[in-house]
Amino acid sequence: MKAPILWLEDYVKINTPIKQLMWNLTEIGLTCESYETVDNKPVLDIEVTPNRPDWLSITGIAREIAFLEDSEMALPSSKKLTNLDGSLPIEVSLDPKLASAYAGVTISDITIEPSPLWLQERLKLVGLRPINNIVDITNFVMFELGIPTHAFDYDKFLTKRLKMTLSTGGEDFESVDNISYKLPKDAIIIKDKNRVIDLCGIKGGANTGISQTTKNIFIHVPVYHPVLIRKTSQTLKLSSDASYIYERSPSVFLVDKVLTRVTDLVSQYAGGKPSCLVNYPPKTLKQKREVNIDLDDLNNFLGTEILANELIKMLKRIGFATTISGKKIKCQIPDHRCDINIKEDLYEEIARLYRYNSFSKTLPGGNATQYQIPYSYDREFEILLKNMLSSAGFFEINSSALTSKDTIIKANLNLEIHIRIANPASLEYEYMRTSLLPSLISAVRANTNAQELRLFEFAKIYLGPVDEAKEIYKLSAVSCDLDFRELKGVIDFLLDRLNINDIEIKPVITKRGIWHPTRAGIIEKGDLEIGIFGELHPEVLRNFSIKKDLLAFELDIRSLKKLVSPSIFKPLPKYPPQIEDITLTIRENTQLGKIIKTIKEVEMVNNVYLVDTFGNFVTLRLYYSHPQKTLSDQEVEKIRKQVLKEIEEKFQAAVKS
Amino acid sequence: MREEIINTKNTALAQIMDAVAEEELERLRIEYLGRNGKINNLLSRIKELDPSERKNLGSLINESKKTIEDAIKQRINEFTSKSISGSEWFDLSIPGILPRIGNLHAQTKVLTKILDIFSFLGYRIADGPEIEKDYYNFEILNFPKDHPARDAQQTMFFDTTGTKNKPGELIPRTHTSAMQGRIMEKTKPPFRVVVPGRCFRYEQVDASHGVDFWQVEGFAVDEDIRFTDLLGTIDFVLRELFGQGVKIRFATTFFPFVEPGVDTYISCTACNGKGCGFCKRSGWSEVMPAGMIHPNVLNACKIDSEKWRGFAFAIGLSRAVCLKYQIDDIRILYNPDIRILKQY
Repeated sequence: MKAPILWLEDYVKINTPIKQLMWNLTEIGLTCESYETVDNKPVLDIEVTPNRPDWLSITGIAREIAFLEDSEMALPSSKKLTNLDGSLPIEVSLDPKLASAYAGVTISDITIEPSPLWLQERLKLVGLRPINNIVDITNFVMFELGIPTHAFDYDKFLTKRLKMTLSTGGEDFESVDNISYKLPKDAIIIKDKNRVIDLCGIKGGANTGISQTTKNIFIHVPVYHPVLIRKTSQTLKLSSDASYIYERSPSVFLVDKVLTRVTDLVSQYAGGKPSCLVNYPPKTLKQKREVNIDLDDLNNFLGTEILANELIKMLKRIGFATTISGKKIKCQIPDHRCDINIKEDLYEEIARLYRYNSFSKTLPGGNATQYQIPYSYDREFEILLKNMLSSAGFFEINSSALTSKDTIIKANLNLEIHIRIANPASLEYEYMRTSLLPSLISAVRANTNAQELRLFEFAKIYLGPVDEAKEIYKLSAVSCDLDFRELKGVIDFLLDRLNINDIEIKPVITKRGIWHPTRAGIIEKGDLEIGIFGELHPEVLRNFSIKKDLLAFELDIRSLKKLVSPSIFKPLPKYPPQIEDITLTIRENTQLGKIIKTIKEVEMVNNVYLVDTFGNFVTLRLYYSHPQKTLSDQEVEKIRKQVLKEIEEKFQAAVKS
Repeated sequence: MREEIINTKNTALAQIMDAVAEEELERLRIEYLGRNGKINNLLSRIKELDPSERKNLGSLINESKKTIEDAIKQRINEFTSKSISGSEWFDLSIPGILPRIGNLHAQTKVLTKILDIFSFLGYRIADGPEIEKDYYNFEILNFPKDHPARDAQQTMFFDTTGTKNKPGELIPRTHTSAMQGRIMEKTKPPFRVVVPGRCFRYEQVDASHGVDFWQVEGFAVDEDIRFTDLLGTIDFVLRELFGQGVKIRFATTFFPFVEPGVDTYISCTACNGKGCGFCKRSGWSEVMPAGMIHPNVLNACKIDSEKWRGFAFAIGLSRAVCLKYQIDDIRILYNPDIRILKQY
């Protein structure tokens, strides 16, 4: 909402410098972070929240300034419409479901001419182009009082019986600015005979618009149903100052006041005599609009000690009349406010006027959470994993959860299982990602010049279909400087710290397009898949223009979480182990992991490490120990024999001779 | 034997004095004081002597041993002090070799800090779906369908073709506030919860907008929660996060799910409110919208609003990270350039 200081000063005197005024307005709810200068005159730019249509008017803002400046506001005075001569009869058949309040008047014998300069100046300041006195006055009053009005050329009506109704869809309509529209269904329209003469709340019709030769006019002030206006405006992708106001449910109690103001200005600047009146007051007009509050409850809610008389004074200054009995205060809601319905609304009003920055600051007493909450999240586990990777030399990246079709295809992933956004802001962000790897590969690509790159990301992936969507946390990493054993070492380290032992590794084989079919493996424990690691598919690397050798892994957090067990202290062995290196000759294509696993299973073999491999030779370091004694050379020999027997039988491996 | 002892001592002392290197002293120590050294050799022969002599000669051997020990110790000290006080050249300016350690992302660090603060205040951490129903994202939060209040949160919609859902029913959540309803409808008060997470908006990506970004939602419900408790909590959290010197100011605002609504501004972390290039001269940054939970929301979650009151707030995590590191472009947070990652 543009609010020229010059125009505001028609109603209220402003003493505060503009910068301070802007913050003061912001503090009480009219967010104002900037102002512009039009013809050397400052115009405030105010963000009006959707609950306050009354602030979509200069007087609405002036009312708040009057409160801030602690001064009185001078509203334009207007007398009730009298002396109606009845010469221009009009009838409007109305529907309370379409317009909850309505007022209109015919005016005879006006003269079309330019509007007075002061009025033109004000319209220009809010960005409107002056047209003629009648059109300018209707616009001026909309800005002044916050309810849109519209003027028709009375003589262009085909009948004096107008009808407000809903469009059936497909009607042709030409607006005052000579643009043609095909109307959607359920737009509020006004018809004379069978013509649409008004696309209500959005634009008037060309067929009854004001022209240079207009003599007699009909001006109306309706308040339309907000949702109907919004839907029509969205369907037609057409919004106007008027539709913007109507969508926000302006007050239904102001139509008479607004009509009187328009009529006064027309008489003053275009001559003419008011003739016939249409008046459709809102049903609720006669009801008393009140909200009752209890002073103790208010103070308890706000944490204040506001006294009754302070409160009454404060409310009076923004138009609330109050009656008090004991601690109970009855507050009468002023006509321009339709947003106050419950006591909390009024509490905000009071808090706002008390000024948020005047409150003391306390911390809640009471009870901390007693219950195990649903959706509870173990962030400690996340941080544990992240810290482990970071200590292994990996840098954490963050990337978008959304990705493009292009990226999915480049990564050899299955487009079908991706959840799609129907209205993406850009094609780069059209699908929810099903793997963190493409982001990591792209990250490697973005670091072309870095030699030793290790990156990881901890985030969700999303698996369709969307109505049964699964959101799964993954921990993924890539490295361009670790070799296969080093990368596997990172995973071993991670699993070891989580006390996850006895994992199995199976080759990927199946079509997991992003992974290398033979140099990547699935890590499993029992039926649970922990993750995948190894080389990426060369085709994928080529698609992403990666020239480095990349190794990667993607681990499933839920599986890790299921398998993790706490570390329990084990006392140090009392008796030193016997350590020896054995060099074996193995057959081709023997899995070393399996040999080591077999040896470890031999009793009193405590640990086995791979020392070296060379051709078909492999050197292993074996630790033998017994919990209750130091093993003698003879005992060790017995164990060694057992070890050699096992691997001879299972793998046809023998000690190098 | 007395003479032999004295001779041994004197020879030893002479050799010690003549030693030119530390290694020589070690050799002498073994020769005289070692297990099979000359002193022990003398001592072992003592029992062959007449008992009347044993005592005198025994103490003479021990004295000699002590003298030799002291002499060696003294010469070693001389060598050591010579080497460290001398004119030895040692380049202290040579660059160190960095350990191969990675780094966590700035967002992880700031989020950890934030969650630590809330855990100190008794909040539990929760996490929920990003693929959300319109119901939890809007409806339960008092956003009627076709209300302009929804305009403030430009929403994307999932393609629901082939599912039983109507278009628009499933959306990438626009705010972590969507978790309010999910948690409150299943929990009895009192409770205090924080929910960090990713949110999505229909935005053109630029320096201050992302299609996805992070928030930390928080809410507390108890019997006597007051408006001043909300202001105090925000004040405490932001001071812990940005430092005690940060200036904080509150303003009235509107969100359908709170009443009263609060906007929180903090002074620019680069210029402390004076206005600079980083804050685009405004001096202030909006970081933590909040408010007292609207009774309609409590009631929709089957919490009696006559008995219970609560407040809710959201921290713009992505923005908080930017403020903390004085990053002037939100896109930096998604930039994986290692030169950036090393700065966090």
